[in-house]
Amino acid sequence: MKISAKLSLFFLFILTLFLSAALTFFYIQTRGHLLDIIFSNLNGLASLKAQRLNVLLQQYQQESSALARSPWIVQPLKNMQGAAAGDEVLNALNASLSQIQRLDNAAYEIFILDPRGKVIASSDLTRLGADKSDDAYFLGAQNGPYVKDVYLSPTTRKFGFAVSSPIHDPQTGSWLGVVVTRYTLEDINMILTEHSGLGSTGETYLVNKYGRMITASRFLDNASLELKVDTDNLKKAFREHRDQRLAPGQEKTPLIYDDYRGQRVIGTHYYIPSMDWVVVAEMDTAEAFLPLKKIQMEFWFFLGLVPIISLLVAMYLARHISRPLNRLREGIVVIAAGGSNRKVAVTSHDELGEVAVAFNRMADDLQTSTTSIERLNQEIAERQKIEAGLKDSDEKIRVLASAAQDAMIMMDNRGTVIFWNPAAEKIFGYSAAEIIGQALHSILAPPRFQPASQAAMPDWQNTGKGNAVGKTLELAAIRKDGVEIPVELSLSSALLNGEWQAVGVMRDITKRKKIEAQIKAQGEFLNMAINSLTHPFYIIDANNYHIVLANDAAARGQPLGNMTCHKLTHHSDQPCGDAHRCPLREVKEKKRYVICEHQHFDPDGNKKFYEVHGYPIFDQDGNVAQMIEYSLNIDDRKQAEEKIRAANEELQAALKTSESLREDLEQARNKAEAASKAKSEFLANMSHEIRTPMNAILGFGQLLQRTPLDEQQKKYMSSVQSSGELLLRVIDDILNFSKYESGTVTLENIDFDIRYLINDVFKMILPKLSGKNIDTYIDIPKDFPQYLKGDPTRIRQIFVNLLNNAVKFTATGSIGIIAQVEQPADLSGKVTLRFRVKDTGIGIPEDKMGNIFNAFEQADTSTTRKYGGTGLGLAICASLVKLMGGKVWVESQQGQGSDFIIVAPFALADPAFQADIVPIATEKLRGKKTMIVDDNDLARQITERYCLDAGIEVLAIANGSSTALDQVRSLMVAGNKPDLILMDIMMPQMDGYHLAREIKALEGGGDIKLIALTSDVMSGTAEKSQEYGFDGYLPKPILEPELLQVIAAVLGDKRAAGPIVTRHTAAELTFLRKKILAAEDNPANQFLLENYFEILQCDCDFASTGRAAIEKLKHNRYDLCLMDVHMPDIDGLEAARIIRQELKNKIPIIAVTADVFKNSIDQCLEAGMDDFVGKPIILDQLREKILKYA
Amino acid sequence: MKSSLIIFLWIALMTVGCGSKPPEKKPDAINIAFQGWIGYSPFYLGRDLGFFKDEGIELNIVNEQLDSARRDAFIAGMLDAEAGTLDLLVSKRGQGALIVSVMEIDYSFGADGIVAMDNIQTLADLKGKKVVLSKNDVSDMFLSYLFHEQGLSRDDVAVIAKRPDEVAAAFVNGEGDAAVTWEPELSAAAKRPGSRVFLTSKDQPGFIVDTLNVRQDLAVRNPDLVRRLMRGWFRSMRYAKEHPVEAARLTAKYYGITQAEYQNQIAGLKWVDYKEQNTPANFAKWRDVLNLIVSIKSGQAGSSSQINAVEVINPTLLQKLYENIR
Repeated sequence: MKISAKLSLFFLFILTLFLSAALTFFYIQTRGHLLDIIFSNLNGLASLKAQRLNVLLQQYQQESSALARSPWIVQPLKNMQGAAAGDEVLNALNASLSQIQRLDNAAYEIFILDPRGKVIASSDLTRLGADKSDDAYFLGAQNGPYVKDVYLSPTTRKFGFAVSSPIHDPQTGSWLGVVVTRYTLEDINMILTEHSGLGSTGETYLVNKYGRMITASRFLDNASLELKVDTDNLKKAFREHRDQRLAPGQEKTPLIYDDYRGQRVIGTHYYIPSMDWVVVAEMDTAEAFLPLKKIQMEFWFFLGLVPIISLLVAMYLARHISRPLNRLREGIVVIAAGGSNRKVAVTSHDELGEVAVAFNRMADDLQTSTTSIERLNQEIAERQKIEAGLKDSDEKIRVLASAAQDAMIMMDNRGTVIFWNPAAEKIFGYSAAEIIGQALHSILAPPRFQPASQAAMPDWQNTGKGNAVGKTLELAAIRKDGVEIPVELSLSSALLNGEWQAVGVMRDITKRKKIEAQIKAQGEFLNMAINSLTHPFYIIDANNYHIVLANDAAARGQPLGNMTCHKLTHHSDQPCGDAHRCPLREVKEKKRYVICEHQHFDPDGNKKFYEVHGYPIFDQDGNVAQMIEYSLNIDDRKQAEEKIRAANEELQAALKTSESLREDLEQARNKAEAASKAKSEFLANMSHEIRTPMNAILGFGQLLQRTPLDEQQKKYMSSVQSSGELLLRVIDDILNFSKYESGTVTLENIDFDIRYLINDVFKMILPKLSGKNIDTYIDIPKDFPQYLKGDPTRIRQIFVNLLNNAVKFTATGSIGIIAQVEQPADLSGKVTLRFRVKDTGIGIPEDKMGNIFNAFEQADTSTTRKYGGTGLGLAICASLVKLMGGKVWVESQQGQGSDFIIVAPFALADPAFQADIVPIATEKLRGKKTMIVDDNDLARQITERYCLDAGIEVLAIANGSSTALDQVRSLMVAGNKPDLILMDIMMPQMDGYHLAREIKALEGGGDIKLIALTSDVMSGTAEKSQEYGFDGYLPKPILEPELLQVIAAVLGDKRAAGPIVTRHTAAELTFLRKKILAAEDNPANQFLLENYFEILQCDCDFASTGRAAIEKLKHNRYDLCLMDVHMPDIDGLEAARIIRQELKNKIPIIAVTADVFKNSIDQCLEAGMDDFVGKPIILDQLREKILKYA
Repeated sequence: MKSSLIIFLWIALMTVGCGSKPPEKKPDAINIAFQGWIGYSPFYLGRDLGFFKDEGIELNIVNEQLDSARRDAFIAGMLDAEAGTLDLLVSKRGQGALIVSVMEIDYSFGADGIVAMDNIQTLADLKGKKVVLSKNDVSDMFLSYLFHEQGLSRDDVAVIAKRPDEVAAAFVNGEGDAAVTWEPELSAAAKRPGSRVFLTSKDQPGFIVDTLNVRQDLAVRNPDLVRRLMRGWFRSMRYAKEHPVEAARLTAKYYGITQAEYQNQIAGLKWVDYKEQNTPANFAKWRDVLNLIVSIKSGQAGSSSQINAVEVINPTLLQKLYENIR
């Protein structure tokens, strides 16, 4: 860009920038001042009008109060108290009200309400009798004057507001009623619609708490209570003054926003808190900023003009500077181009003029020196040209000699070296500086060759000819290190400056010689190797079949000359035809290695079998040029093959015979399996068919026992129950035995607590010891494992059978169970355990010991009549122990007692399997929701009864799988998903397993707990139930306590997955880890409780006083508190009160008291206790309370 | 030079371009009015925390104690929504305010009740006594309901009608033998010596139900706006439940009580969350309460015209509103 342009732009930019900044600043300032003035004006107007409104409202209220005090109103109302007013009085009142209303322009109605809110007098007679008891002006005016917000009267359809005041008896102060005056909006409108000081677009208006304009709009008709004002200004007013409770006052920040018309306005507001009204003052920004518009026009004018002027000035200045500079530039260009006589005009006397003068002087001096320089330059140019040509050719020669890999040597006529290239230096070890000028032959030639070379020299010196000239010879030469090397020499002569000179090119052929020697050695070695082969080896020409090479085994000493392969091996002059495979033909066709069997003559002339191997040798075109052939005599192998073939035929015949035998065996096996399956199915059906009615008998028996019965009925029912249970045991024995005998039973493999199991089975037989003088003991060492994997039901059966026998056959003495670890756990995690059931009974005769475990055998058949029994118990034990992989035997002495010993392997279970199951208290089962699915009507009824008695809500009952699934879906859709489903397994159409799977697959169905109720207790049903998604498992017949325990355990099971909860698991867990605080001062009672808790497997902590119990509760967590009522220091009642009221602890507290009369029990409950047990404490009672509350 | 100028101009354009924003959509303004009942406090909470603004709603909360005033405002079209009890909804609807109930807010669970002198032991003991209450208000209805359940007649008691915020003061000053009101007035009234809170809605839960009621034409014309209002409510209510201390700090001032008093009184009600109320069974129960109120009112003198529960708690409208709440 030219200087003139740069200067112009620069000036333009600077001036424009400065002017814009200045004008903008002034504009903003002016705008700000204008805004402040207008805003201040609007603020003043809003404030003023708000004050006038307040004054108006106060005036109305004063008028209303004055009216309420008027004697002509007070007196009639006073007289009316307790009695109806006469017509005359009322008419006079109405007339007075009417007169006053007419005098007041703003009021359009005045009426009086009695204390019940009824209109008893009015300026508008049509209003008489109206009930206004719920209206604001009645309710608000009971303590003083009240102003009701502007509203549209539903009766008169007029906009207005009301002012009311209470009417009191001046003497007694009693409240006589309320006087109400309704006003039009005329006065208010007058205040707000006065627009002086607001120009043509400004206005003030009033807005109510709902954002509706109360007064008339300047711009829109029918705005009153219709027009919704939703502006930033109004929102600010409500937000700051109404919501944030800021005091009303003049606003400090002007707001610019869109008003209710959508016009841009400046606005402010004044909030009136007593009425929740806002006075809004606004003016259109267009009008407000009109003065600014004029300034804007001037601003733009100056902004346009100034840049033009500045541009013109800049352009003039620029031209004044740039013109002389241009002239100077032109002169320099000319001189640079060679025109040295150029002059520049001097047009000024400033710095630019001085530059022009100096330039002209320089141009003159330049012209003088140019001429001599030109001549010199010509001469130099010519010489340089010549030298360049010479240099170029020298360089080419140098490069050629340096690049050559062979030694290039020149020798002059006297035999001295005159040229020695870098290759010669490398080959011979002499540098050029060392050898140039030396005699060549005496240095390089081996001594034995020197005489001959010297002899040839004279002739060559004269003629340039010699034996070696023009030839390539292999010679020997000596290097600088004295080593003689073979070389190849190409020698020629050249006549240079009248003298013959020799030029030799020499190559070191040491490596070539070595390779030649290696090739020769390899050839000899190959020959030896081929000849060492004992089998014929040939190389045959593929085109003419001639044998190119043959080893001794092939040739056998005879000369092969041009013999063909077919001549040698087939004694034929013709190549092999199609009668047999020709290896050469095949190799030529397939162009790869081939093997074929061939019968031909051996070198001795005998015809033999050969295995011929052919290897192709390819020429450059990829065709087979030759073949390497190698033949192996295979006569012996052929004979062996024949023998094998014959033996194979004999074997095939033998196999056919054994196949038919195998088919016969297969048929026999299938028949046996079918029979076994039929038996299993029969037994399973039998189990189901027997258990189902048994369930009804025992179940209804239990329910009947809960109804009011007399003593005799209770005795009969007890007998029915015990007989039913006995019958069930007998049936179980028979069915079990059949199953075990058939060997088709599958044991469960679930986790269980062996210590608990042993304790539990012992508890079962304790009642049978009643009346007998028999001690009992359980000996389980500390290192004995607690949790095992196995079939707890079957193990329980074994112990029950053995213990029942012990009880049966022991009259006095002791019965005990001893457990030991036989072998500790091995690498597979299995531990071998030994259990002994020992008694001091009648013992077993020695001759019967061998058969004691056989079915239907007893030691003495007379014992059957005396002691009872089917004789299957021990047989069942033996079958079960055997199934577990163990063994059982007995050691006994008649009259001394028996010791039944079981040794069996068990896998250890992970104790954590129970960690996440915390059964809920049965009290907390209330409100839980369940569904019952069972095809048996009686079974359903029993289960339903058990649930309802426990407070569990039964949402639905289904008699089969198909309806059950639909019902579950309906319940879930209705938002009434059951917590659990009690489900029979053996049902028609779809069994319980598949139904369980369907339910779990429903969306949300995974949360529903499923408990299997089944009569099929034969074959691994617990494990199968777990596999199909059941959470709990209970065999029929169902006992109520077991059902509730399993439900409580399943609902308290927080595991994501894990072993199924059985009745045994539930029983184990119900009390396990429960922490009980027992407040009891009597040591004997403490001891008793300690024993009970040990049996129940609960953790127990003791406190001897109420105070100690309170302290323990402050620092520890317990599931239940047993509180003795009578204790020293703080007794149980006081302690319970403190626990409830001060500690705010909601732990269940069970009172323990000998005084179980109603008053005492009430006192306990009032103190905050939840229940009680009577002294002496019975274990079952304690168990029941823990079950219920803990 | 040329490239510098181009770069400068480009930067300037980008700055201007980035600085300009598309115009924001104006939020929908909703006028909502309700009495000073603590159960409505999440409306204040949601407004102050911006939950309603997030739904595109500018919530204008009007503290209007008198039901008749709210009725008049509905009829005039000035009020869009209210929070109130079902019995007052029935009254207003019968007097010409076409409003429908769209959402349950809370059940009174101890925060409504009767405070009485110690010599009054049962409801029957109120016979011949004076009872201070806000007439035609929820307290009035609650007393009618209790009497109805006990087979007593309202004519046996004399009513001293007061504004809702004056009932406690009137009782403490010695007016009446009993007062029927709600918290915080209930606790304030029980400060009169020789009196105690005799019976509360905890003893009769499920009758005093507060609901969100909107103008019928608004619900029909613009269900999306109503849905957004409901969504803002649920969010505010969840916040109040999850942050009770913070809720107390932000809203106690609107009721003129301390934060501790606020938390105490909140325990006397049960807010109904979305899942709990959005079931056909619940909608039916809601209408049952309304029908009960209508039947009680129909036995009273000066009662409003027959109300059709299905019009007021419209299952089709509710289904439309609730299905898109989430």
